[in-house]
This record gives sequence, structure tokens and C-alpha cells, in this order.
Amino acid sequence: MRIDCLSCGKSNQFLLPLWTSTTFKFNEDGSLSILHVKPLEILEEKITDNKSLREISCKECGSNEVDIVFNEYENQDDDEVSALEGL
Amino acid sequence: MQLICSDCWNYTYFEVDVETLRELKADSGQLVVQDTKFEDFNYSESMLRDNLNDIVQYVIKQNGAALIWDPESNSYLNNYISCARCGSKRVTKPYSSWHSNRHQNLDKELLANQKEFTELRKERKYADRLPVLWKE
Repeated sequence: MRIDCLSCGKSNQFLLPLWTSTTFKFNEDGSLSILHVKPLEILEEKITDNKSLREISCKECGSNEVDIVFNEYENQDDDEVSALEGL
Repeated sequence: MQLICSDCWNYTYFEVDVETLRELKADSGQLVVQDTKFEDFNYSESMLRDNLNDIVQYVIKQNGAALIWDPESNSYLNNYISCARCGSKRVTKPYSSWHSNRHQNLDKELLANQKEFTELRKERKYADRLPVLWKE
């Protein structure tokens, strides 16, 4: 798997917003303490969902122009595959 | 006490949906998911805490705006925060004027106050007249 930023092409780090269900409590002094955090979205589904693709942004340049290649060896020639298998 | 559940009277533990940020890193064919860090600053943690605080402060300040009327349960429900004990969404500020059972249909309210309004109009009709003295 490979993620490419189509804008800067440099970074391999990307940001993705996720919704979580957070359990918290009020302390006596009025401050908040977090007790539990449960993800509400499945990361794998969000990445494979084309609608959510625009939510992924490059950490370096902030661009939403991102391309995800799930199987980078899919389009290789038979010769390359056999060479890799030989290795 | 800043918020209270009208069903179980819990005023300590609540739940809220908060958006946070995760970092994806494709490393040698594998996808690594971790907290977002800028140098030593953990942005994921900070964003979670800030968003939680923002929502809670918003609900406390804009109490009425955070509530929606639910005709099925015939009560106001909190659009953001729910009770962590019983799961109820009937969470409001204590002593809130938006009491869960206080909602009344406008037609019913007008009908109930019809007599009072008629009296009010009568008062206005005769208000500009001087009192009539009894003849001896």
C-alpha cells in the first residue's frame, strides 16, 4: 500500500479526521477528565471509501489531492513478478 | 453541578461525540496509524481535549440552542451530550427553563390563555375613560 500526495509528492505522512465517542466527567473544580474514547468510524472503511478520500490531507503541505494505491504490485509485468518471486 | 440528566439525575458522567485527527503513514507496504505529532506536541490529544471542551462549554452557554424537541418522547433532547450512566439524551443545565416536560403546543397555550387575553383587551378598551361617579 502506498499513499501519494499529488501536490508536493514529498510526504508519506497524512492526516485523517475521525469521530470518537468520548466519555468524560466533571471534576469538583469544574474541569473535565476523559474516561474513555471509542472510535465511531472504522479506519479501513474510511480509507477505502471514495467519498472520504477528500478528507485525507498531506501533513506537509495540507493538500487534499491524495492518491491511495492499495496494491502497488498489481500492474507489474509477469517478468518483474517472476523476478521478484525468484529473489 | 453544570449539567444534569433528567432521567437518572446523574450530574458527573456524560458522553459526547468528538472529532479528532489521526496520522496515516504508509511504510514498506504497511499502513501505520498513530497520533499526529508536530515535533514533541501531540496534536491529536490536544484536538480531542479542545473539541470536548468547546462542545461542553457551548452546551452550558447555549442551553436552549443545544436542545431539540422530540415529539415521540414528548421531551427536549440534547443534540450533543448524553448521559453516560443511563444513555438518556435528556441532559440540560440544572434549573433550566427548558424543562423536558415544559413544552406546550402554541394552539393549546393560546386557548388556555384566551380568557386572560379577553380580560386584558377589556382593560384597554375602558382604560382611557374616566370613572363614572354614582349619582346621589
